[in-house]
Amino acid sequence: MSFLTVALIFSALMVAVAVGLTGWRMLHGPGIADRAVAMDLLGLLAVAATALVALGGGYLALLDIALGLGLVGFIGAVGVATFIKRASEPPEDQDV
Amino acid sequence: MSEIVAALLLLSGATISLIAAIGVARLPDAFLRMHAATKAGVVGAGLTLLGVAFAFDTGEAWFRVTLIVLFLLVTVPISSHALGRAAYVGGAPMWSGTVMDELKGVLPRHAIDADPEAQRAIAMPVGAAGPETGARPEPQAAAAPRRMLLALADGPGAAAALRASLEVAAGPRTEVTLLSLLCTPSLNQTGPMPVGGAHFGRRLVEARFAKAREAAASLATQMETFCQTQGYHFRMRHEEGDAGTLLGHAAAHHDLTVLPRGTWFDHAQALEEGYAAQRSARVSLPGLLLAAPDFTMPGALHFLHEGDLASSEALKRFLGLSFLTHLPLTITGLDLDGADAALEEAVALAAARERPVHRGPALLHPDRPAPLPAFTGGALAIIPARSSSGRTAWRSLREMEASVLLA
Repeated sequence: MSFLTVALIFSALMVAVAVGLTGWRMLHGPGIADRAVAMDLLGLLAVAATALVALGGGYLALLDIALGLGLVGFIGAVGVATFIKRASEPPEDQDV
Repeated sequence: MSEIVAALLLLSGATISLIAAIGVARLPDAFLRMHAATKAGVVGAGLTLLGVAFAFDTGEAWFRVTLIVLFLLVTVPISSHALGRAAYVGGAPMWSGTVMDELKGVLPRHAIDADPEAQRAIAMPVGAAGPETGARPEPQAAAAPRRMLLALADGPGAAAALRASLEVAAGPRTEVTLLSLLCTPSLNQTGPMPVGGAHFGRRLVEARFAKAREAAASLATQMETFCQTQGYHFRMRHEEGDAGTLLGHAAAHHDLTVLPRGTWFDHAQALEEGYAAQRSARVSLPGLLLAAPDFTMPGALHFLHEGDLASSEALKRFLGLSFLTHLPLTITGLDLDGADAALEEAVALAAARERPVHRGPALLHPDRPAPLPAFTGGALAIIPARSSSGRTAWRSLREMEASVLLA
């Protein structure tokens, strides 16, 4: 096993642990903002994990998927932020 | 050679990602977690990608990796900025050790979104005290609330507000309950521990609990002495748990509940002052008197009627409360179509209960947020605890510094 292979395995393990911790935070909350932050980080970790898989399997095309994941994470975070903001605003004068 | 560089980059990227995840899991509030997630997260992912590019070492790989890294560098700050702003506006709680809030007054902060933490209540009866009467007072026409609950929350001016509300509302036959509460969720927040880790964190929480218990005990002693010297019939209780829930349960068995304005049951040990004030202003219980430190005997009572069913029921509850029956009562309505008939009926009901009542000018319009000059000069405002239409009008009233009675 070359040094690169060992590094790849260790990196994958560390990213897996990171995904576990972030997922715990996402499930645990306690608020919607905490979950949204965890989701944001999960997107970044998914990009890193996809890149590692691309290297491990030698599939260069997976890097395109990493790009797509980054895009989805960005749009998702902005969408959730808009949702939190709207949902928190009190229903002003809706029935007047 | 590039293999070594790639391996090192991969390892450092994964390590930084792991550190970011630990930060997200361990830091105490949403804003600090965001600080870990975005900065460390983007560096971790970026270094991993660079490592992958070094390992492939082809033009195609370099092109894609450069694209992704640039893309992340552009988008992650934007998305985290939007998330942070939304979390602030959404009222995500801040760690109790936060020292600076530069957005205070710049952005609004709305209702809290945290889960209602199901806390086990520990009821510890402290014992009954007060002049021993032997028998309960014989029932007769009540001229004051029969059972009054004093929520002992320590804070600036709390003792004065509680004493004043007793003097104003309690009659000689009123049974007073002194409820000393400790809000465990707000006291339980721990922060990032620079030295000493979790052990130190526990020590801090324990110290905070001890201080809050001390403050609660000192306020309880103060109120006990006051009740004894004034000769009220009173009982004392101490409970710990989710303070909002416990207060709701206790208030359900009392006619009138008094909460000092601007305080909460962390006894000024955990929450920032403005945040504690928000918490207490958000309690919505029928028969709750939010007493300001300068609370005195009001010269008049103003009932804010919104012309809807909830307001009419609130008025009936209030009339049944026997609260300051001798004071002139003004029923002021919203300037809405169809509210006229309801207001006439409301005035008739109050008159039939032998209240000195008259109808006020219909000066409140829901589109005008703060039309409240009439309620500040020595008059106590009474608002329906659960209303539907006039929210804008009376929300400003609830957020004022003055005392307010919810009906």
